[in-house]
Amino acid sequence: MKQTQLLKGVLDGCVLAILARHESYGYELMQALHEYGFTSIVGGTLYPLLAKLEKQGDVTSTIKPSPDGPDRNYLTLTAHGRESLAEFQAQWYQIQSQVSHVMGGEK
Amino acid sequence: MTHNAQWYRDAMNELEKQLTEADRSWFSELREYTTLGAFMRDETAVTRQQHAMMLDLVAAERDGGDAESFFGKNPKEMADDLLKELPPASARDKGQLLGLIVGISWLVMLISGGMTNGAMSINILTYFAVPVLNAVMIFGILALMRAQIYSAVRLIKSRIAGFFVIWAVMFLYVGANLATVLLMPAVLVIAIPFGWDVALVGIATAFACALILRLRDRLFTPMAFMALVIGVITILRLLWQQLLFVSKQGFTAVILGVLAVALIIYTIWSRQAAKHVER
Repeated sequence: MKQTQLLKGVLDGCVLAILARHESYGYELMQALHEYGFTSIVGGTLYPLLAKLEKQGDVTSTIKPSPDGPDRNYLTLTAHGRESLAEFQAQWYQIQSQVSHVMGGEK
Repeated sequence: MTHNAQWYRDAMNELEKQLTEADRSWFSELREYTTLGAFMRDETAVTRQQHAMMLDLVAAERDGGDAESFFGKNPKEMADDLLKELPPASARDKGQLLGLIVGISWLVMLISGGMTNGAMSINILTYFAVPVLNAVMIFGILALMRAQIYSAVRLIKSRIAGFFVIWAVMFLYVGANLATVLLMPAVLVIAIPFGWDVALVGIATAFACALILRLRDRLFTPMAFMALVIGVITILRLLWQQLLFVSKQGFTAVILGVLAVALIIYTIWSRQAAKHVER
């Protein structure tokens, strides 16, 4: 299975988790994801995902002056986004535990 | 801080100067593709998204990247996925777009005296059918232009081919409009008496010219000139049909001559305006 297919379901949660720590913009988010090892993520995946999160009400965007350049479109997690993140985390830990059991051959 | 669509467009026009030539061309295609596909989307949201992506590309370039490594190898898929997630245009914006198409269609028909040769009349069915036809053709042409951007098979491969394609589309457009006018059954027709027809064309011409000039856009000014010429020709035709002040041959020759000169002036003026805007 391609890594991108596995990532599809979890990338939303990862982006929400990064934004829960601090507001950010597209390029900075991409760099953060690369630093976490998601080096195959490109703008073609990230920008539609960010637009989807904004449409769902999980993030809001505001134009703000950036300390290292021109005004940027900063993304901030909303209260709805925090709920979505909590929901993702609960599901993720459950799946992680189930998959670990399967891989370890436990029942 | 909030900005409107024009602010983002102006900012992008400045920002793109910082990109490498290859990335400028890459992003220009992406911008065209998303803009042409975003007629039913919120214009501010679309331009804000484009602006944010261009800013990020500038930052990526500073770190040694380029458009393809940053956005991936499938810009078309990215743009399609992105547009699906952006908010739709408001009912007001959609109404304005529809009103613009209907308004321009009606003004063109009024200025050209109903696009027919006889005394002026208003066929109600035609006034409904022509805006519908224009909307279908405009969206069709834009969809074709959009499909060409990332197409493996390009219809327009050279400047000469482009010239012929543009003229073919123009003939098709005008021909379809004329065919609709001429073939429409005369079920609900309002005949306009002499005097009123001249006044109606005069008012429509003045209104169209004022509307175009109000845009204060160098690119559109030649259109005001052309609207004025066609309006004047229609008024002369309506007057001639009643007063027969010259022979038919003489009148036709004068009208064709004026039209040819006007077309030449319009073409030169438009080209100069386009060059000026490009500079």
